[in-house]
Amino acid sequence: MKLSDSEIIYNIKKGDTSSFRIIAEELKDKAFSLTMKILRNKEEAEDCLQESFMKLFKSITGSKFEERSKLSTYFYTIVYNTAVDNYKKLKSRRFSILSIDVEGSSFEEGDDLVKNYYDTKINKSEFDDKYDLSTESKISETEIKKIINDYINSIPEQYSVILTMFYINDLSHDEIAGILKLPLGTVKNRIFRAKNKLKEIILKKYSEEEILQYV
Amino acid sequence: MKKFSFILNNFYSIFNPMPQGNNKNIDSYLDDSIRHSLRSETSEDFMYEMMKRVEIEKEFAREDRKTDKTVKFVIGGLVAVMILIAFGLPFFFGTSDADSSYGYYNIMIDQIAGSIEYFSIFMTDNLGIAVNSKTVLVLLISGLCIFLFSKADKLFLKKSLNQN
Repeated sequence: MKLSDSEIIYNIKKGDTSSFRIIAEELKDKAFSLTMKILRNKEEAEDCLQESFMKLFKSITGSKFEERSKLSTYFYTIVYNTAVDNYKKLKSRRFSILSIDVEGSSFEEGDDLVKNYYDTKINKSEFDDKYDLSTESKISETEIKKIINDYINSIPEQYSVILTMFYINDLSHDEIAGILKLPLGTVKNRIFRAKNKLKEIILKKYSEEEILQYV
Repeated sequence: MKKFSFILNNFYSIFNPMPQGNNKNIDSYLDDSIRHSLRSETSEDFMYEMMKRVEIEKEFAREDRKTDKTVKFVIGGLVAVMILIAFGLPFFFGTSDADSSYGYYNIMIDQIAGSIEYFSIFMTDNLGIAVNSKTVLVLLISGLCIFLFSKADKLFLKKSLNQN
């Protein structure tokens, strides 16, 4: 039976670290995806995540978490703030979720969403040994997946952080806006635009029917 | 008067329904693919390392609580001793032939001074340490400073932890 947030908090306060392990197991990979998107280095991202978990543990045992929000939302706020602080320290740079003027940019080729994205092509001979690409459709399917992967890995943090919060951390638009201190409209706009741009890139190469074969 | 314009495309949805089902499928396919691309996984020993830190933190917290109790006990003891010296001793060692018109506080101050003097003589005779009213004053001020410092330190520490 899954324990509620209140039960977990009560157990941790009593000194039961196994309850903390339960939430850590549940949240670690989701939160790691977020720290990776900000720090872009596995070791730094794991260190940051450990630091965030320690802050959460201290907050619970020190009764600083007042249960005004969900435990996971509270934790992702800690993760985001810690990652941004570490980013500033490690990279000696300012991290700004606002640095890209989304409202002002256009859907044209070369906008901020695709400035680091290069057209993905599959080298069939390279993949023959690893995958069964005997049929043309298999190649297409792999190529579509690679396009999505390359696109997601190339988009700026200002988009990828929001997408990670939405798709991986399961945070609502409101919660994301609250954590990032951005207007709700900007959050919705960025998710919509990032996804739409991806759709546009794929539909340039493949028809809807072709894509739907893999759904 | 509003101009009525007949656009054939307005009836597109009636005669040729929009392929909403397909779009929905493409959208859900894209959602799943984005989710898959965004996901990262921690290394295998991550949980082990983290739980080790949690156990250490738990132990530290327990030690902190113990230290906190000891410090409170010591500070409380010191304050009690100081109060005892300042107010209690005069009544034990003070003279009782004071003039009642002299005023209670003046009598008390005289008694404190008298008891300090008595205490000083006692210390010099038995331990060879000279204690006068200035020494006691310095001790009292030092004690007060330690007490205030420990309180202020905790207050600032709490604030900084809350900010984190």
